[in-house]
Amino acid sequence: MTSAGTVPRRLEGRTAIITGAGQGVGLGIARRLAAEGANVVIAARRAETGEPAAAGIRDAGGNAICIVTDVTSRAQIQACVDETVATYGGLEIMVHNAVAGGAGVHQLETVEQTTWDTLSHTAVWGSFHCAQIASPHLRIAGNRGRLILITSPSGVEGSHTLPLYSPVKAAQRAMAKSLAREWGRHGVTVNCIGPVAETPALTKAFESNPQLRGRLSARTPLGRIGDIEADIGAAAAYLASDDASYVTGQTLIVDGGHFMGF
Amino acid sequence: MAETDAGEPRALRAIVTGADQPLGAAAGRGLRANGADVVALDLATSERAAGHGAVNDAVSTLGGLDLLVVSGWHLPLLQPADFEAIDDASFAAMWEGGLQGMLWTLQPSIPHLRDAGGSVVVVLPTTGMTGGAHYAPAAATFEAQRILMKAAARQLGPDGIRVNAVAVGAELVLADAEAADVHYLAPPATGHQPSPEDVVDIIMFLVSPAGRHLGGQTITIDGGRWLAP
Repeated sequence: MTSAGTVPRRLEGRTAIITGAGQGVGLGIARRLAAEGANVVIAARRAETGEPAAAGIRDAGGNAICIVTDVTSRAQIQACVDETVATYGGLEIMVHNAVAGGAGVHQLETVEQTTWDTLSHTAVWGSFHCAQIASPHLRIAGNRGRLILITSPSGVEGSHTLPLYSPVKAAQRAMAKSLAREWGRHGVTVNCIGPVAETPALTKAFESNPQLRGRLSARTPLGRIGDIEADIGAAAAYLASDDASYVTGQTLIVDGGHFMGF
Repeated sequence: MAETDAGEPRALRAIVTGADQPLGAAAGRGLRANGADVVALDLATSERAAGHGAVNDAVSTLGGLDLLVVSGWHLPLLQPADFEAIDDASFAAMWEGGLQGMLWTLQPSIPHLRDAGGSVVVVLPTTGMTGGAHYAPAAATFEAQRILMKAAARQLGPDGIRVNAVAVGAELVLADAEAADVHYLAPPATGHQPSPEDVVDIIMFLVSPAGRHLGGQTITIDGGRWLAP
């Protein structure tokens, strides 16, 4: 956790929605955006994770509310955006991070319809609806408008163990490039982050397989697993800030140098 | 030309999807001209059962499978649209059609391709790599197909199945390539624009012994316009 006072306050007066922010990468992003002064909406599927996440940010001196949102529902994303704008007066930053179905190893030869549907509906339909519904508000925000999609290094290189996870993450990159071209004239930027960080799922995997942490760290040039707030949250805050107002259509891989594309 | 178990040459047994569209039609014609037995699939649906049924019927007809060419589930010459105006039905037709169309024809092909030491070739435009204004659903679909190709190459390669892609210029697939606003696409380095028929030589190369070290690659034949990396 980054201590308050050491981060810049680049996002004062701006409002951000982060989907899947009840835990993991989404929570790290929400904490950092709030620490930089943003009003933060925790759009979590479950109040059991979303409410404590928002309370934790408020306890640390930030502004946050939880709006329970299932990103597979266009109507619920619409309601979340409407309530956000009614509460805070606008929406400058939309971060779509939520994904389900990404954890289970599967084989192309035997994978079932439900695995595809879960990944497609959360990652890709979620991106489509978040982008479309946020669009009028991001245009009003103009050169402070930001769409950030959380993808994965596997969305660039393809995954041997999660073959259906990698294409949905690739779709988000191409959607970001396309919207960056289409929305550039409004000043709105659209970028992706491809993180590797210690999420609750990864911590659990480390507990059941104690050697895994060392193996993963050893394959990473920087020798450690990323932190959801100090590493991934910081990258999101940069992209959300005026410091990145000339950066659009890009995928920022934040993984300690594990994957290096061109 | 493929080989029987006894090492005798025999016709390449191929399925080509998207055969009602310019790229798929050209691939099918070209493969036949090269002596292949081809079943052209023109599925009206991307549902799992339909894909499995069509592939299993085609494999029965062919007596096996050496090559699956995936060439899209999109309508010929895609029309541009403002992102805000795209409804869920159009997005589903492009996205679910493209990805499930590919997935549910690839899946039942795997055991047959493994038996034959066969290949998968995905044919798509460069639009997924470049992105395209007014073409977000198409770009997302093509890039996802390309990365599914890479994942398949990783997972199926050890079984002796080659999986690669051929990328063609956007103007062969988009009705209004100018609307995509990809300004940095210079004139082709070769000085000429390839046609749909040109995918066939690359497919024949990929399935030949010369292509045996290529896995998960995208060979771009747009005349040398999209030059990355």
